[in-house]
Amino acid sequence: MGKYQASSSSSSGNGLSGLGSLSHAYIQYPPLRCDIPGAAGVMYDDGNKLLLVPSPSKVYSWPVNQQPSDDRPTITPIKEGPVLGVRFSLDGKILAVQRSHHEVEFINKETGMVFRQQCKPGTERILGLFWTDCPTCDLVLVTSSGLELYSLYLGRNGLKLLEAKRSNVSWYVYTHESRLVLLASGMQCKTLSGYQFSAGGIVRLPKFDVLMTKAEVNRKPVLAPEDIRIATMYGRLYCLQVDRVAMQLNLYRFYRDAVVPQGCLPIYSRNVALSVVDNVLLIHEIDSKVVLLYDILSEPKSTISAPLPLLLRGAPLHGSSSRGFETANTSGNTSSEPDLLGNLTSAEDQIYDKGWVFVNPDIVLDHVHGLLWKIRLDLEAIAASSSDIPSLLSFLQRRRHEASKAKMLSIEVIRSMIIERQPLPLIASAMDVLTSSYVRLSKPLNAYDRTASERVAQTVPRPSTHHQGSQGSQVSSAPVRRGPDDDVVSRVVEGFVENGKDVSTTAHGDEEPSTSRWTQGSSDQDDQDSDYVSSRVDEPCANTPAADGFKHTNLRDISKMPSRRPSTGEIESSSSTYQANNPPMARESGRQVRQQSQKEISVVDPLAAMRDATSPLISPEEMQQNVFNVIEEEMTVDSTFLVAAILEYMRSAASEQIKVNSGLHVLLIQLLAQEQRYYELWQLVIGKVLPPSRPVAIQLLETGAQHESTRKLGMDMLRQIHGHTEYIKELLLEGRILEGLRYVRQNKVDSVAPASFLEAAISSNDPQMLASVFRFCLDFVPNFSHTPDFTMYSSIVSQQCSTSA
Amino acid sequence: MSRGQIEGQELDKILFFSPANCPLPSQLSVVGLSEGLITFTSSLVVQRDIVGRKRISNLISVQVVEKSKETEEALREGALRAVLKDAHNLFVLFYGSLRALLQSHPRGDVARSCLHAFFPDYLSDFMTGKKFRIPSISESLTHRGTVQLFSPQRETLLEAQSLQELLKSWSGGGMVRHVMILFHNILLSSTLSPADTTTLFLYATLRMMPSSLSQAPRSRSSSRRENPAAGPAGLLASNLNNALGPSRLRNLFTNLTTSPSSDVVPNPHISDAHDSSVDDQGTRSSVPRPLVHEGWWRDADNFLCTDAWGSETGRSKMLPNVTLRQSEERLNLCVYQFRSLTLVMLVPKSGGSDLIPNLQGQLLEKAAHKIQKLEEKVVKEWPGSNAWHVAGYRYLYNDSNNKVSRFSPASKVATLSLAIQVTATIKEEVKVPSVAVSCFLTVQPLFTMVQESLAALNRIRQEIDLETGRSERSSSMEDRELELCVRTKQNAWVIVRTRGGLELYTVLEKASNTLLLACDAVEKLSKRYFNGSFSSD
Repeated sequence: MGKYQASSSSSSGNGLSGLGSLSHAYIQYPPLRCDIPGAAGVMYDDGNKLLLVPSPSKVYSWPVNQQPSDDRPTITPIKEGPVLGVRFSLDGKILAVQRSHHEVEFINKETGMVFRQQCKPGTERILGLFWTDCPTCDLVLVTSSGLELYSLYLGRNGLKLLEAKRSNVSWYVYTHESRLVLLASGMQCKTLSGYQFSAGGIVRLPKFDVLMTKAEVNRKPVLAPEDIRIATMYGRLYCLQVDRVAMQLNLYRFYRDAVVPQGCLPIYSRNVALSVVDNVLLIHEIDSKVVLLYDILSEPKSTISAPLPLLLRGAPLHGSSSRGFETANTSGNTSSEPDLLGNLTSAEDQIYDKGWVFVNPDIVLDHVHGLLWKIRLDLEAIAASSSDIPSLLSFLQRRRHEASKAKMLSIEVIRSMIIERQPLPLIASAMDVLTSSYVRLSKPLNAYDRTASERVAQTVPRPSTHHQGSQGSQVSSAPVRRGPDDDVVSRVVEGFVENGKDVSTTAHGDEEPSTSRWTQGSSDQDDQDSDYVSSRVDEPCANTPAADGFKHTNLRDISKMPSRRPSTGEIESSSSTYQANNPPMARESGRQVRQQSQKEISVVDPLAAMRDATSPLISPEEMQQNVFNVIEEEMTVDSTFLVAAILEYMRSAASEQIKVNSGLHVLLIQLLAQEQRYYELWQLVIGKVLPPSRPVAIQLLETGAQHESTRKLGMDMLRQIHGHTEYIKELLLEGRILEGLRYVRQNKVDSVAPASFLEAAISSNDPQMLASVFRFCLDFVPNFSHTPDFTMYSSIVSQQCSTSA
Repeated sequence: MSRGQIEGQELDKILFFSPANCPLPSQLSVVGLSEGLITFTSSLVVQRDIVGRKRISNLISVQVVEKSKETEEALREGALRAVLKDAHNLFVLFYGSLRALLQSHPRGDVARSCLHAFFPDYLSDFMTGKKFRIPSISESLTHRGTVQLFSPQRETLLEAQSLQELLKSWSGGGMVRHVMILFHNILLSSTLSPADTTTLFLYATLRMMPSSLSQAPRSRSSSRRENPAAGPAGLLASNLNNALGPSRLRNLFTNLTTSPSSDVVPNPHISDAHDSSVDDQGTRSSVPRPLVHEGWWRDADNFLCTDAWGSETGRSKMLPNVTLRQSEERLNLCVYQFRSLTLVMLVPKSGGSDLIPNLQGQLLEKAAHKIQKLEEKVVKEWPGSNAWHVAGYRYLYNDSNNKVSRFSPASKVATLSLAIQVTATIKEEVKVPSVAVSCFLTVQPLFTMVQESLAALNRIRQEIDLETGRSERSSSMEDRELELCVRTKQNAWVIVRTRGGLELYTVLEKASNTLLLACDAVEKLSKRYFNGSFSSD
């Protein structure tokens, strides 16, 4: 594995920090800078993926996904005044600025029109707002007394209240990625209720209480918004809760009508921050300044690799050795960008500085220096440091952000496994990982994908229609809040069996945990025949793979929005009236509802992902070309072992019903022939391990030049697959002309010219043979007597006959 | 090298003679006759076999079978020869070639003791009661010297291959040289050459099947003491005397001078296995008896153990040696059996003393699970003992290139015509109230019917054997194709097709079939079950 190491360090570019020090996660230089004098802070609008910096009279915005980042911001003028939060509408036309706890101002960028929305003064406070692409409303205001759903009336320059969902709210968390808002209530703020504003409608999630360990007997802890995080990993929605007393991170997974605890992860520092990068959960242990990486789909839940610091990479500093993040270098800042350097240096000095805010999913805002960093994974470093190869491979196969790199690494891993002659069982399980992830993502027809595709069907049309009318500019999340942003929804199909067992529950008393382990298939089944009222936790058809995403494409993200339709029983907001209460989700409504409700709350469609050309999946062709052929050409491994590896791959592919291309079969034949293992070759052909195909047959014939019965095998195969032309050619080469004629007649072959038979007969120097063939042609080849062949060969025939006579 | 050419030393020629109680003068006269025949035939340009005498000319030894006149027509020379070939192959597998034995020990005592240890056991398989059962027409739809190959589904076969490769890959490869996997008495997969596979397969099916294993390990030392010690001149095992009695069959091994190419390198392998017998002049022989009945038993860890190779104390798991014909390698035989799955592994002898325990440990640890999985899969896919039955046909398929055959199950060979007959009879005897009676009535004629068509088949096979033998000798490389349709007295059809080393014998007992229908039926059989290998195109 040393080789990945090498490549990883080279990939860190000119980064000083790459050399000598390892990290599995890094932030890439240059950051997005937003040095605006007099700015009121840095905000991140996750709906549009914009970095927003409000100053008293302007809002500067930078698109985050642009590479390289554009330093010139878009400027939207606003009236002077305090700014608590800013958010652009999803189409970017309207800017919502939260001016105070009671008032939000909307600015139409196109027309310059401004209108305001206020809440009841005195009794409620506006906690925040967000724009949605859910079909029923455009904007949601979160106030201390609940949610208010509005739609935009641009013509009238106003908002129309569609519905209000009343409840006491202490604080809330929202991410656009999940379209999920969590409202905290109660004395301890530990009762959370959620709504999902998906493209399919509004879904109300059951209330649930998070577990909090008491620090002291008489003091009840209060849950802070920083301790709650909505995370989307593999298309599943999780609520992550930091319990600083118990020093653990509790995971809850959202289903449509249940919230199921999923265990916990240890944390080692009271001060932690969370990021999700490419579906990998990063726990930043701020105190000890290291990052722990978890992949929720790997079992058991343990860190992917050793804790290592977060590094800065690619900074144009020289001479500095990377000493990790803490001291990265303060010297040598004399490079070409002097104005930036000071800034950078100090920033570097202060990785995990107090000014850092971790925003969902993988963004770091540095309020002090006005920088935005994106956290990335160093797959090479992870690959280099991982010793459990099968789980490393399955980790790599799930990567979507740097799919081509993951693919390259996977190929390299498997190749070097063979070259290093790792034990066959290990290679076998590595191959199993590759084939099973290949089959899950590339076979749309199997069980789980069916549901997935259904869903897609629902989803896809949505995006185009989504909110024509909604335009409101919105407030961005307040700078201090950590949470909300998001973007990529990605999802991966995993065959991962989940343990649904401790489904303890949740505010809805009526659900009861399903204790069975489920897989996708089974969940699918549930979908089909759940006749009883949802007294069980619905297993969502989870695992649809989805691939997803690149955070860089907003549109795409939107289009991937969950297309789940709201269950019909759910309350939809009726025009302007609002109902204060939501009846518990219409469980009693029909079967259809149940079916719906058994789906997971999640986002995204799987199929798009699979078709993604840049997925790390390795097809049999690529296996052959990039692994087996390469090894064979380099002759680094003896052919016995290579044969074993190929057979192992074929076994693995066969168990997943993947068709292996005949190129691999041909290679296998060549290798076996090299070792003179003809009898084994014969067994493989007879047992259809090498299924009949033209390339295989031809290779058998070629190999058969040294081994007669292998040649026969090839001939038999040619006949079996009706390779008429080749078969007859071989027969003629062997001088079996009459047999060839019989074959032609029997199988009605017309692709072989009569002349080839006649020529073969002539070269056999047997006048009788020639006469027979000629006669055959006369009798059975239509219009033979009118072809030039006839005149030519009839003279030869008569000539030969006369000489022989 | 010739032995016993000097007058007065004729007995030297005889290495083994069965039955042993045959008077020496008759033994000598048989030997003389054989010798004469061989000398005579070798002087002819075209060598021909003499009817009634079988010989294996490339051996220094000759076996003569004298058979009874009355069953003559039921005998097929090829079948008899196959019995001897099998014997020879097995002998070479365990003892190395006889010629090498004689060269390394010119006195012949080692060779004699080996022969005496081997043949009685081998021949006892052919004994039913006191009668020697020679291959007869009832076996005309089988072919000796071939394996029966089962091709499970692709996935399962790949599992088997994967297991095979796993075993072979241990310790950087070479720890297990070859693997053969059997399911019941059917071959699943083998990495050996066809010839070695056949021989080892034969041995495994004879002595290692669960039914032929000994129930528990036991001390066999007493029985081994009775081992026919190699006396100087054809002194014989008493048990053999009793067993064979005054049989009409005689087996004789004698060294003759047929092959002038006597410059064969002495087989170095055999000496270490037989040192003790040399030293002791055979008085206390530890010559292995690989074919002794119940010589193997299954240990708790599923490994097969044997004491047939001698049971030195302290070496409970002694692994027998075998010699591969193709590579002349001498390897250890290690067998693992899980339920109906038997894994025969050949391990190099040079691996050191801890090789075997090491191998066994690895196998138990890493492969046992795989083996179990494979067994379950194969059991699921195995269609049962009538797997190869094709309704309406009785057939034998023989692939002489790869030494594989497939044939109708023996039970079906009998019942097929029974069924026909029964229906026919019931038609005739509608008045008979009891079906049982009618069945009873029909059994007798039926039997003769089977006899008849099989006998016809047997004769045809005899012809084909001659024909193929001739073409082999003439070494014409061309692909011989042959189709033969014979209507027997009982209106059965016997149809033979051969093509490029493949043979298909079919017996159809539909009296109403015309030649055309019968040929079509065989064509169908060929297309459906044999990839169209015999299709007449």
